[in-house]
Amino acid sequence: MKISCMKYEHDLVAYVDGELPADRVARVERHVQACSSCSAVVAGLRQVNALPQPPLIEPSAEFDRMFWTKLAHVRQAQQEHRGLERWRSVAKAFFTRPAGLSLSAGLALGVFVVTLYLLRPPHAALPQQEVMVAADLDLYANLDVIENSEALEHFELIQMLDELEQDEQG
Amino acid sequence: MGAVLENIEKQHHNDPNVQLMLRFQGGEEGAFRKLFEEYRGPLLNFIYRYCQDRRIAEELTQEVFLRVYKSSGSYRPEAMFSTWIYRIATNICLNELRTGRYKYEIEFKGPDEHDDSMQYDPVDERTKVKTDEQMAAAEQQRQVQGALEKLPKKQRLALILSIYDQLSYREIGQRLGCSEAAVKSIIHRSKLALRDILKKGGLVN
Repeated sequence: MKISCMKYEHDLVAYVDGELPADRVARVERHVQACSSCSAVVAGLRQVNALPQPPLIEPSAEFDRMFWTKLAHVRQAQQEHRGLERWRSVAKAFFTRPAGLSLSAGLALGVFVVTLYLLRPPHAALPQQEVMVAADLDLYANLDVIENSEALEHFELIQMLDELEQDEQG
Repeated sequence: MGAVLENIEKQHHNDPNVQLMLRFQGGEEGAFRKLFEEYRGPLLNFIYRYCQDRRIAEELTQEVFLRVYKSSGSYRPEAMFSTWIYRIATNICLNELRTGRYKYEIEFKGPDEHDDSMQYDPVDERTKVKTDEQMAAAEQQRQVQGALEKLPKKQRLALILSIYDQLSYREIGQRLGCSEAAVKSIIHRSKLALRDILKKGGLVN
């Protein structure tokens, strides 16, 4: 590119696009007619502007159905959001009033107490053997000679005899 | 400032599509359906020319309408409806394709499996024969598309609007959300760059 071209270089594209101010058009035209280099650039730019349109495409058969499905989800989300917002505004209005404030403090205390109750440490589980002995407490209470430790040594035999006796009575 | 905005809004009240959008804002769902039916084709083609993938173009076109739907509450007619909706489409093209799965798909995709309009196909469904002219046109189209894809995203969008839609610099600026002077600069650089690429391929002088 010649030095004389440099002051026109920036105007060539706008000139071809018809976007150059009228007062500069005549000067650029004169230069382009006289300059083979700029004339080639202008010709190339005109060809660029005349490039054929790419073929148009049509929305696919699924396009509409997919869109309305997506939109249904958006609507549902909006409705849920609106419902949530309504509750939030009601709650905000309630808790910011003095009466609501004292009530909410009471409510919070109640929730705290209930939470403490629910989170209390659980009772230690009784060992299985102790539970079995506890189930037989009735029998122990009906033993005639509890002082006799030998009776306790034969407890299982006594228990069996007691069951047989109960069966006969039954 | 408020008065200026009000004046601008009044100017666009005559646009029938602005009217439709305002009716939709007022709760008339049918107005939204009309806008959808009128703009889905042009927007799909605009986005498709940019990303060159039919499936992605369809998803992004749907996204444009979802945003129109969601923004109905805050809509103000500060521009012609077409300017407004194309600006949404432009932002989606520039932002959605820059990150996430679309970026991956665009950068690493092979020939577009979802599209048959741009591919070289020697057999025409109707005539069963493609003429030399048709094949040359398809080849040229592919080269132009390849050249466009070598350009930065904003330059590519500006060129699509300038060459294919033949919009003025002012209209391009409105759609891209930038000044006329900025558009002039973008178009200047991008058209010279495109011409250089096509010149190397022997498509232009």
